[in-house]
Amino acid sequence: VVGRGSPRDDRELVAAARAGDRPAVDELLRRHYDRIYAICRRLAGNDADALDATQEALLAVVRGLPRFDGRAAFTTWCYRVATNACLDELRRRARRPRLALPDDDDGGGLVAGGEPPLAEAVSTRLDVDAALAALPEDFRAPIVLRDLCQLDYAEIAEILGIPPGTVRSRIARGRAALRVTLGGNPTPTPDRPTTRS
Amino acid sequence: MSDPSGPRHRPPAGDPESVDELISAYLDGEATADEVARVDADPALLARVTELRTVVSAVAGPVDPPTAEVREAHIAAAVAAAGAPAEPTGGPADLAEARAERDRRRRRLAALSVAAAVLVAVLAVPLLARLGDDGDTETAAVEDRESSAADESAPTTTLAGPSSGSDADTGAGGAVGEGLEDDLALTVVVLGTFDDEDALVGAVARAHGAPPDAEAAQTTSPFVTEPRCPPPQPSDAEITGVYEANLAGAPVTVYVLRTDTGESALVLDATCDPMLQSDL
Repeated sequence: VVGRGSPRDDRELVAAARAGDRPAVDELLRRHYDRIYAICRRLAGNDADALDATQEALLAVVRGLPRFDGRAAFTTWCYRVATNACLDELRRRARRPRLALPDDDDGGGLVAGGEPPLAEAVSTRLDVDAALAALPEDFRAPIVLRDLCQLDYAEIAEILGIPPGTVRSRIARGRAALRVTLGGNPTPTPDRPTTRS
Repeated sequence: MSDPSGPRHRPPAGDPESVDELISAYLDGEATADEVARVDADPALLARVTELRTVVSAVAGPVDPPTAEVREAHIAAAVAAAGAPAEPTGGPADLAEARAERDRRRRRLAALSVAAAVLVAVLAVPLLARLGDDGDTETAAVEDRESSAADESAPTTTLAGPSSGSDADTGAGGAVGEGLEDDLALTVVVLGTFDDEDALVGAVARAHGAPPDAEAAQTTSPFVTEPRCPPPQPSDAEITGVYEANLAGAPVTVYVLRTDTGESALVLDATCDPMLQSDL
């Protein structure tokens, strides 16, 4: 019997969750919530879609727990489920992620950070959102998984179901497009991936 | 997900796309030793790496989290889904449907048992008729068994659910209905988490004695369709209930055993070894 008070790792929590232990499910979700939301936020490009996608992602994780076989790390599996759920939700909405302006934040004030952020930070955030939103999903997802989740190419390949070489190519081309956009040059370069989908 | 760039190819060295891949892989620690050496030896490429690092930092930058209220609502909804049937929503309606399905399985099992008993009788009677003077006696015995099996509304399994209520022997329907028996037998009630053994045994006692309508008050889980641990063997007691729970952070399986002297809860630990037996 595991002593009470000792923190349980993901493996123990998953085992307990699979046995119907709701507090274990709660702890597992709480532990990974911020990262799941961040993935959805970066993939969605705006707060409202990110919130809905996060809910779908959490539900997908819970419903997928019986199928988690433990071969991969829970975080890898969790990010895969969350990423796919987010992308599915965004596809269902059948519209491109759009830039959320400060006075037109369709998150309805649901996002924390009440203090007025620095203008530069706002600018950077909006620029990143806009630049990512301009990327096709096939390029956006591997970049988010790499830069936000620090996953390696093999893990990203497993999550997205594509070869590692394709991950490498997409990340490189996506970043090249981001560099152009964030650098203030709106003119699409010849290798901008948005023109190749 | 299809690759919009078509079949994977490596651009020739010197191609802008190749340089992008090179510095991107270098930045991610995914470049080969030769590629690393090439970048390290080229100040222009190192400058590109520095430039690209700002892009990576921008994407990796902090994301404002939702408010605490939204976060809690998200987690609560997902946790609630953990205790509900997978499709499409949880709640009492689904439990009622589960009970109805269980009843339908029992009726099918009873019908199969009767059919099996009749089949045995049909095959056995001609055989017994040829056995001479003792045949009448044995035929009567077979008829008794047929009658007994046909009277059973639901055959008892060795792992009957808490509300099974039948004390009859498995009888002739056993082989025919084995798969269905297993289906019926593997009704597992999930009780949740307990800090100590007394609380666990108390919960088992309450759940085991609860009327059918109280079932909604218990936790059901789509995750558990069969006991985590096999039933104790050998056992001359009848198993009348199976429960899964978490005791002080470790999963436990509880079998309720009925003997002539009463019922008791046998708690199996995480490795399925007996750790406690307590009268209910």
